[in-house]
Amino acid sequence: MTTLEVLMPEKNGAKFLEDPLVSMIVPIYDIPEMTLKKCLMSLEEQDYKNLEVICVLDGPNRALEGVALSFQKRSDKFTLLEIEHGGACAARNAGFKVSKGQIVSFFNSDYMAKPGMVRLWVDALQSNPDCGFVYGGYEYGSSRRWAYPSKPFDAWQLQIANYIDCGFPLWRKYVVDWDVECRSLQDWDFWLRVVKTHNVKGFYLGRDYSFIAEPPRPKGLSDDSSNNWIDRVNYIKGKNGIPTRDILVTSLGAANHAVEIAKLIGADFRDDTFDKPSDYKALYMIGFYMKPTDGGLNEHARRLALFKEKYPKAKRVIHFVGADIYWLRKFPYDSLKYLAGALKLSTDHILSENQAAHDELLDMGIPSDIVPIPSYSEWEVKPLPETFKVALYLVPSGYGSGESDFDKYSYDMTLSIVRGMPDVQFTSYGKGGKDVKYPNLKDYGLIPRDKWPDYVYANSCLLRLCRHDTLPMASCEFLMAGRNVVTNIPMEFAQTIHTNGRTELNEWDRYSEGLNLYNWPDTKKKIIQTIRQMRKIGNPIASSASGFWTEKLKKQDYISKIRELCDAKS
Amino acid sequence: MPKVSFVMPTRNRLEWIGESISSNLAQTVEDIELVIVNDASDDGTKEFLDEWAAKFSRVKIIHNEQRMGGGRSRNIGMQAASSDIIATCDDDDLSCDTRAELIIKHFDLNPKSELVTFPYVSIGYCNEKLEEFDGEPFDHEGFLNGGNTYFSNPSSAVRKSSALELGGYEPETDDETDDIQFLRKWVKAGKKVDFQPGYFVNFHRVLPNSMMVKHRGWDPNWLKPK
Repeated sequence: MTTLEVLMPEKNGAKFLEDPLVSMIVPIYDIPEMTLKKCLMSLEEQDYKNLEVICVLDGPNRALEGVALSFQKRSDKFTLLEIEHGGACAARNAGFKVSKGQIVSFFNSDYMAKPGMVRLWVDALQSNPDCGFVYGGYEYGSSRRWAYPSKPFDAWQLQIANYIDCGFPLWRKYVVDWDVECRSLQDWDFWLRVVKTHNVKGFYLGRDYSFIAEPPRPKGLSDDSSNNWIDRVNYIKGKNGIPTRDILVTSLGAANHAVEIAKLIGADFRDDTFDKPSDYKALYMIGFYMKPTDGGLNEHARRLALFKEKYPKAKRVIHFVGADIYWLRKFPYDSLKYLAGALKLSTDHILSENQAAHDELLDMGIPSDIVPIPSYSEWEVKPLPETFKVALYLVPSGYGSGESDFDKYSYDMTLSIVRGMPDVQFTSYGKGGKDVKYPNLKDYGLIPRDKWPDYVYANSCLLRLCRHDTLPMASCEFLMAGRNVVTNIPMEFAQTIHTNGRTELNEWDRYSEGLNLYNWPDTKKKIIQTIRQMRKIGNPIASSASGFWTEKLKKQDYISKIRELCDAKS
Repeated sequence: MPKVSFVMPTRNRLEWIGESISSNLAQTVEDIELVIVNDASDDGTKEFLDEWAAKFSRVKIIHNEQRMGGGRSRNIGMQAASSDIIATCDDDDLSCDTRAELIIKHFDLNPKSELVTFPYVSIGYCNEKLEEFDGEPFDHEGFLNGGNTYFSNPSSAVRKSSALELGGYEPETDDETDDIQFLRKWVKAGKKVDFQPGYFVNFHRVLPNSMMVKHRGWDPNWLKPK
């Protein structure tokens, strides 16, 4: 018995998966010898043993052939294949034909694999059987060492722009032919067809960067200064049957929201690279969430200038949502004056969600039109659940947690209500309830969009304590579903807790007075009394509240309003 | 028969009483009882106690028809208690889960002890820790001469028989000084106050109008955590 067999005792039920053969197909054409050498060395030094590297020489080149041959001599992992010059796609197809691996990667010859890259890929593929391929970010090997982090998989967003590099691996059964007719953006075309043909998704490696790529060469194909970028993008879109849309939605701080809005109004969404030319008719930005510490006091104006520069012909519409205005209030007067001017110069329309937000913006010299954002789902009044349940949004507080950097959702106070009402059942959603163990609190964590209506209908009311808010979608949804809302933010048909306490040290926080701890016992008592009262009498105003908000938040009104402002046809 | 009776007078503290009761019921020893004297609350505390707390077999609830004040309510609770050892509680404080266990241990080891006080931790509105009070042995002579010494009423336990012998708490004192008056009576009568160091037994909530703020000169705004 070998040591390895002792370490993997199958009788204990622990069965290690075998290492599948991985084929790395490297097309080689017109690169410096040293670059190729670095690439092949990085593959030779991978600790993953069951690996074959197929170097496909795209047309005769003595020097590069010599490099590849020297590796072939050293190790039987390497195979050299020479074809007639036909472009990278033809070379990849030829390499794939002779490869035998269960997992295939079309690795570029100017990449340098990081140590352990193949092992990382294989582990990710084997442990995520629902994913057809894995991908992630990579670094650029320039002196500045910048990186492209990519983003979590979303098939819809892949249709707008590519975020999956061609070098990432996939199972052999999902490989599609590389299109030799495709002059550029072949990798985008490839992944689009992989996803469409086999209906598979990718596993995002997150911060585990796989390889180091050479920065785009001047006049090379991936150099974005090439002047026919829009035509190239449209060619790929047309070829894959992707509609070209005339509005681009983007966001600073509310990306998930913005993706849903983009789908709703039939627009594209992008939040990453803006350095490529485009021909959108309008740029619609939802959320302008910037703190004074994010890049300086005049960062807002700088971003606006950037949008104007990148989208000179597009209509630019900005929609202030959520805590954008809270942070604007933290800016000094001079910056606000500068921002108000910049907004006037570089946007066509400024929108706010409700009257309170409109007034606040006007205080800062920013006039806006009120356009409330509708819910993505349809709601109707349904009977309240048998047991009285209160829903909470729990978000970890504290700067740096990445969730609520100014404790927007009053985490400690919300939990204080849960402790104060041991006879009432609470449910929570959001990231903050994970480690909270109270007998009367059940945590549902992050609720996916399709499960959200079930959650809302399973609760009798929502308790939402906020330091600052405009028109919270969750509150609207609870009201439309015939549920009650207890909140400190004035809102039609919600049970508003009038906190009227002493003003906090920071007089700008217009809603947080009652959440000042000085007045918290009184506020807490009022909240507890309100919730108890609701448990007693149910929700007699359900149908009028639902009717009011359903009428106010009509999807079609919103869509046509935005399309009209963006000057786009529907 | 329970070994320790927790006696808690309350008036209009709907916001704190829920967690306070929960903490007193969550003791590591089972044989305790909780006597709650509702001193004519009108903020919904009565309904809460009747609807929820009354369901627990270990909870005894007494409603005062008229407002009696803290001292009288404490005496009413003490008389209704079925155990000889009374743990004094305030309606906005939380007890540690080992409180009853520590009290029983103390009276088992010191059968002659009549009144014992323990260290405590002060907390703010959202149960954030403010300060630890480790305490010190009670200085009887110094106390009678008007000196400062450590005593925390809501972290104490007293023998029911001894307290009632002295007439209990003064009926006419206001809610905030009833404990000090009782203590003075106790020490003047020549009785001992014991001190058990080492373990915190309760969390004493500091409210803006509480003694801590008034007498120690704390700024209520300072209570804000973080």
